[in-house]
Amino acid sequence: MDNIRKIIHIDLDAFFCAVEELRDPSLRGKPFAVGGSPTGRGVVASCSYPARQFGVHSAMPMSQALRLCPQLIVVRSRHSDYSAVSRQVMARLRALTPLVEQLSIDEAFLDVTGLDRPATLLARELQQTIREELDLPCSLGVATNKLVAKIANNVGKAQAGGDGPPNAIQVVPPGQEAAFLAPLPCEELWGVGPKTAARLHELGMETIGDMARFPEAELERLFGKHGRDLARRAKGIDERPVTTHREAKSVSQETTFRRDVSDGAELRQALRRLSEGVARRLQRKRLAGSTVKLKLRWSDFTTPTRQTTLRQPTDDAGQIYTAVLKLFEPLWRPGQAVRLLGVGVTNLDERPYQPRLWDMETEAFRRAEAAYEKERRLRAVVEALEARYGEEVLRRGVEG
Amino acid sequence: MRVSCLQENLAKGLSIVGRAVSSRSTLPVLGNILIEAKNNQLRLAATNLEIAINCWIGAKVEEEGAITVPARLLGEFVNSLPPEPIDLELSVRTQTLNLHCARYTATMKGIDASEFPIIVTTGADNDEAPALEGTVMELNAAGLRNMIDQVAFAASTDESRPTLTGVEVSFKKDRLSMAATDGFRLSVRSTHLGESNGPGEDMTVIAPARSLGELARISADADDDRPVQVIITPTRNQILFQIWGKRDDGRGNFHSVELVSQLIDARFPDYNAIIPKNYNTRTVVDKAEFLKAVRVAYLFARDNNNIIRLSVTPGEGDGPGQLQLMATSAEMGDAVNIIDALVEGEGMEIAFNAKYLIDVLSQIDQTQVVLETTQGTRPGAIRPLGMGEDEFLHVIMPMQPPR
Amino acid sequence: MNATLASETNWPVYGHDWVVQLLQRAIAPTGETGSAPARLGHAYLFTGPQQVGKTTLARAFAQALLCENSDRAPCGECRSCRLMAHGNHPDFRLIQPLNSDGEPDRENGLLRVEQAAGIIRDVSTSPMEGRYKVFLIQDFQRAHPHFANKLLKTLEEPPAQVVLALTASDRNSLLPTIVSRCQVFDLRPVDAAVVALALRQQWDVDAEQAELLARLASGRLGWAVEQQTLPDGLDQRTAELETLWRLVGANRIERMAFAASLASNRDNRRLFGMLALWTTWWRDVMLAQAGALDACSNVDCKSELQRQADALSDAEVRRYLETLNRIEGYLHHTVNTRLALDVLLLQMPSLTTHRV
Repeated sequence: MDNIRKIIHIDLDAFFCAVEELRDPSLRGKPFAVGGSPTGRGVVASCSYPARQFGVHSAMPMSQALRLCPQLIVVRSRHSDYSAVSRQVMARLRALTPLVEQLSIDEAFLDVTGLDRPATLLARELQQTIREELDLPCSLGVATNKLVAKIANNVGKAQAGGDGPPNAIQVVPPGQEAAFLAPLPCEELWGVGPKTAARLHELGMETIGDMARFPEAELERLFGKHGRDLARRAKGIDERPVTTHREAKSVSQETTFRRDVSDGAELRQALRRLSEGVARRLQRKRLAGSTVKLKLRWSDFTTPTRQTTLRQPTDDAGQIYTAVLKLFEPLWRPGQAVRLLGVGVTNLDERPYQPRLWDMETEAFRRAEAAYEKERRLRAVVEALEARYGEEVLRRGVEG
Repeated sequence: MRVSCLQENLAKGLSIVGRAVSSRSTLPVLGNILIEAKNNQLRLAATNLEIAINCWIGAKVEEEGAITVPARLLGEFVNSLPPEPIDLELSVRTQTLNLHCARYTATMKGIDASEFPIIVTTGADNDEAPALEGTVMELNAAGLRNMIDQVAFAASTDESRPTLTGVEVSFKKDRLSMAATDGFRLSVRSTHLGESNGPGEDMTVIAPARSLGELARISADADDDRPVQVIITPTRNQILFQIWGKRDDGRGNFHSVELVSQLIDARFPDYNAIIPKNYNTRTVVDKAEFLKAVRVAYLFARDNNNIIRLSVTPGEGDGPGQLQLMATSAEMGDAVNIIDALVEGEGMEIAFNAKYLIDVLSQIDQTQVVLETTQGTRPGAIRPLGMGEDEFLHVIMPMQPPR
Repeated sequence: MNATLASETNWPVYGHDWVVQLLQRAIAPTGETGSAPARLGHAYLFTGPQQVGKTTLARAFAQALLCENSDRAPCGECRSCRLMAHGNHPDFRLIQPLNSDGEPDRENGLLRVEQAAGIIRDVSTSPMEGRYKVFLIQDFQRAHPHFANKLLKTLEEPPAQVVLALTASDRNSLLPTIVSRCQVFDLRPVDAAVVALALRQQWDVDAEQAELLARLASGRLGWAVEQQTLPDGLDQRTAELETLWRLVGANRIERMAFAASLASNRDNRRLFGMLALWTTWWRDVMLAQAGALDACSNVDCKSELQRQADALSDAEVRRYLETLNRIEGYLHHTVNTRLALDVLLLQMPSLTTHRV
């Protein structure tokens, strides 16, 4: 049992809506959605559970949401508020363990292997703390690895039902991973998109269990290296460590046009602006990335993405724009109407940074220096944990 | 104007003043060199409006006069001539200069000398032009050159921050100090002025690093036994350096050079605030070994923002400590180099831009250098062993490596 | 006729009297002679149509400021005035848009960020000979945004001995942050009588020619001067007018052929010069139709003007003037040059008696 990890996946329920309810309690129990303006081309960023009863879901155009649910209250999103609350939540998580991997504004993995108490109990305590101290609902999945913990959380939330937040906790005990996944549809598995799913169905695989029973060598022959990963994941094996890097895994920016745009010059102009925005944020975070991504949404809402890898990591607007344009041109035919464009850079590396001598006198430098020191202390904690429980626990996790 | 001089001397003079010719000026006359025959000397002059250089060479003047001619054309022509006397003759009516040397002749269209900007002089060789008045002092040529070399490289090349492109030159009591910083590193050098050589009053000016660089370059040909005279105008907007040529009558010589530089009108940043006041770790290493290790690491650091990591380990008991240098290249892999060091205080890690280390170590003549550090985020101080902090001090801001 | 101020103020400028008066007041010493002018601003912006005299005025201002003998107007005789006249004044800087090779190019070049850095560096040192350093930055509408932004601080508070003069086509083409830091002079077209006088006095143009050029210049003295210095300035105009008259009588096929040759020529300067000429012509035809032939620009072609005015309908001429104006706008943003030129030619009023 020595090598068994304890991983928690935590997800704040309808996070933006929950924050809005804190601000305006009269919203409680009502169908409402947070997002862009209904008269423009805004989409639903988050919707309350009562709204979900009407079929409203996130990423849906606000205009469509209003057709489904005419009494829907539309609340303009306030991102800075959400970030502030998110930081408070993450601080609660880090109070429990330094091994926190933040996935997004409302989602994180925790590695609690080093803690003495059972993971299930820790999950319950966390849920209680966040409800009592921050008045926010959340759901958690507990398992021996990230893959199963996250799927467990999804399943737990789906089973909760009702018209309020799920507040679910779903535990998958060690050794039960494959059995837990077996009845679920293939699509639940990380790495199975619509294309892969279609191939799997053609081959007669509907559930993750079907995949687990399929000969691994055969999957590898059919899907290449990806096939081997799929086979392992289908058996509930996932060795990825919880990485404490708090830096963004990608920096991206997108824009939804007020009306569909089919003018090439205007689209390229938008791509240039987005590239500049992404470059600015990379530079501010002192990051550079080697993969450039383009996201595009046609007027029928199909959303192809394309990506390319550069030889050197970049944080330069011109280089990002050039790369994005190379992705855009073959994808877009002149005259084709576009609803949304997005530019992203992933595969990020932190850049070495050269401060100035006189920066020492600034508040910003002192803050950065303090953060640097904190990071060093955190590393020391991780090293101490490794010393106590062995490097294997933290790095490699459980073997199938 | 009718005058003759030696090709080698003219070529030398042109190469000295040629550095002040502006290549991209919108003023036509600034692309030219002023040639003036007077008092049995030939004055050559050029300016880019920031630096002006006057150079006097020996000549036989038959008829005094002056003209300006295109600098590049004249320089290239004179350089291609054999080492023999050159005759220059000005046709006043057409403002053309005729040159004759051995079997070669050339005619160059000039611009009237009165179009050329007025350059102040000490008046030592020119009793008619307005002599410069101001605070006068005398400095040792070799010492001055050495000071400039150890300071000017730390100045910024970013023109949009003019103050940092300059070197702060200050006279306080009997000390002359120079300081330059590009914001990332600071070089300070100071020396004792002999009695009665100082200006007699405290003063501080900012001279463009480029001007001082030119001065150091020219003074390599100077007579080191004669002092460099320095004059600062009363309004503190110009500084003049007068340099004497070697006295022996060899060829390729000049009589004297006067370099006049505009001064930068600004307040230099207060660098005393950022000079470390103490240290936790003091590391003494062999300079040549250190420089070599940094150069090797730089090869690997070049495609990674020049970052190299230094790790200092104190010795066990009485044994020597060590300084480890590390650099990582995505394509070439890592380089690790360890050199012996005398370490006082605790072990520590710090990362520097390799180029900054190479720049300063290349300017140190002593065999051993001292590196003083407090912590990885704070500046490190470097100076030659045996030289006081008040004489030479170099401060470098460390880089913050990726976490 | 109002006498020009050139004779009254001794500024080498014709017209723009009110600007000269204000600038003169700005450089006048407030105390005893030689004291610093208290009313001198540190940044001036001259706007107005091409060749109306923005640069001439800014140069005269610089010359007056740098002049050794006078604190009201340039004396024209001192060393400083002489150096200004020859473009060799070491305290006067001319900054122009550059093409990608670093060569001055006022039409398509840009004021680039490196030039801004150079200016910032340059203002930090003292003038070489005089009391001031004057920077003339031409065509600010061609400034790269980085150039403009980098210069904001310098424009707001340059060192005391620095004066900046900017020229631009109009203030709307500049960042508001630039305009708000300058004293702005919007130059109006110069009165035709002043243009004619200037041509006669300064450039020895005979009276009849001066009158014609002044009428054609639309208040832009620089244009008139350029025409008379160009070897074939007015000849070219005559040739182009003759082409125009031929086209008025030409059929569809001939007009299309002319449009094709224009499109393949790709000489924008000539094209827009021709359009300007056509506009004055048709405006003159309209004036003639209204019985105001005396107010026309093309004073040397009155009989042809009257002939066309009589033969064409008012509405047709007015419509074509609108077309000209619209097509000129299109051509500036080159949508489809050939198509625009076809429209331009085909819609021109026609004097053919028997149409094809």
